[in-house]
Amino acid sequence: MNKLLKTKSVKFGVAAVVASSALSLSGCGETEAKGIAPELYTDSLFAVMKADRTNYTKYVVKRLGPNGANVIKPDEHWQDIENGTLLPAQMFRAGAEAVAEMTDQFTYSLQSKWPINSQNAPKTPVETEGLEYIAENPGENFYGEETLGDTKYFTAVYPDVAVSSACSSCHNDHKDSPKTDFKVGDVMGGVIIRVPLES
Amino acid sequence: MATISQEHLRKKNPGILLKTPMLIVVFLILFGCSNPEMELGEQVFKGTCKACHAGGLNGAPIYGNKRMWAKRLPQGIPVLVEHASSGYGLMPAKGGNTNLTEQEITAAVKFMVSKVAE
Ligand code: HEC
Ligand code: HEC
Repeated sequence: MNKLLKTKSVKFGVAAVVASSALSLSGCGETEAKGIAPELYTDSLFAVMKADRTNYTKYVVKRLGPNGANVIKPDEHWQDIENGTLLPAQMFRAGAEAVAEMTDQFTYSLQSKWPINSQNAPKTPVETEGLEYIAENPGENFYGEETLGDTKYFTAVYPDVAVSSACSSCHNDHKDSPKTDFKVGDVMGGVIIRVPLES
Repeated sequence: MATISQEHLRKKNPGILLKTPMLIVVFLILFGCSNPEMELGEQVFKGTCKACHAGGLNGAPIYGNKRMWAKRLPQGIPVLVEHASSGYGLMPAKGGNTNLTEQEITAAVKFMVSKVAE
């Protein structure tokens, strides 16, 4: 499990923006150049992730899956099925993994206090605090800072909600799920986005 | 003209600093909280609807986001209530909270709409 190692090597994202604005500020007293606020940065990233996930659910899984044209089969073990396709959570994770291969500017993950896949459990105190906060305050986001290694990070946690009975029933019935009483509207976990504040 | 400093006010009318907050409280009681349906709506919203309608999950029109509500508002309150009650597209019936009454759903819809209809 090298998730932590991976996040530790993250550098330069927001740090670069902040550093460049510091340079121009201390430079020649020209017009003030501001770095993007970390909250706006992670909110924007999350908006894209959310839109993509909704569209995958709506235009692929619903439209072509068993409740639509029934030509594809979304399944946890999609690789073993000829017309199998990824569950939205797996699609999301595939995105996070592809991004991790491309850049070390930021990391994101889908986690839960009650994970089916134990790799999706919180790993740092701030992740745990954030997941607890969003579970207790439905609809609210959590923003925190944490230092891992010698890097300070901005960590945002966005709620992931059981938007249909498909979410709750699949998790409740899954043999590896530590929680079996999810219902529609419950916060099931959260999307964690972490960006470095300084290198 | 410069604004009147608090010091000046205190000298002129020592009671005004006390009275102003009282007046605000009275005003709030009379006007701010005088709509029980809005209060109920806010309560239902926070308890059930906010989980999706704060962040726009699955495309749920975000609370207070005029752009997202613009296409939906012209349907009128009764249709919006009917959609919220029976489910609509990716919106689950009653937001998954099947205990909610018609009155509570109506209040919650009106509460959400009031934040974009101004
Ligand atoms: C058909 C079964 C199924 C459905 C439907 C489903 N999930 Fe999952 N979900 C899974 C599996 C399996 C995983 C573990 C994936 C992995 O290996 O990372 C998972 C992972 C997750 C995680 C990460 C924490 C964990 O449990 O490992 C969250 C949060 C989550 N799902 C939320 C949802 C939401 C919200 C929905 C509905 C929009 C949903 N799921 C629909 C099976 C399902
Ligand atoms: C589990 C997530 C979820 C919850 C909880 C939820 N909604 Fe929604 N809501 C949605 C989604 C998604 C849509 C967009 C539906 C679409 O157009 O496909 C929506 C759309 C709506 C609409 C617009 C319908 C239309 O005709 O355009 C209304 C009104 C509404 N919701 C009211 C409510 C009320 C009231 C509550 C609380 C009692 C609530 N919602 C709780 C997800 C949710």
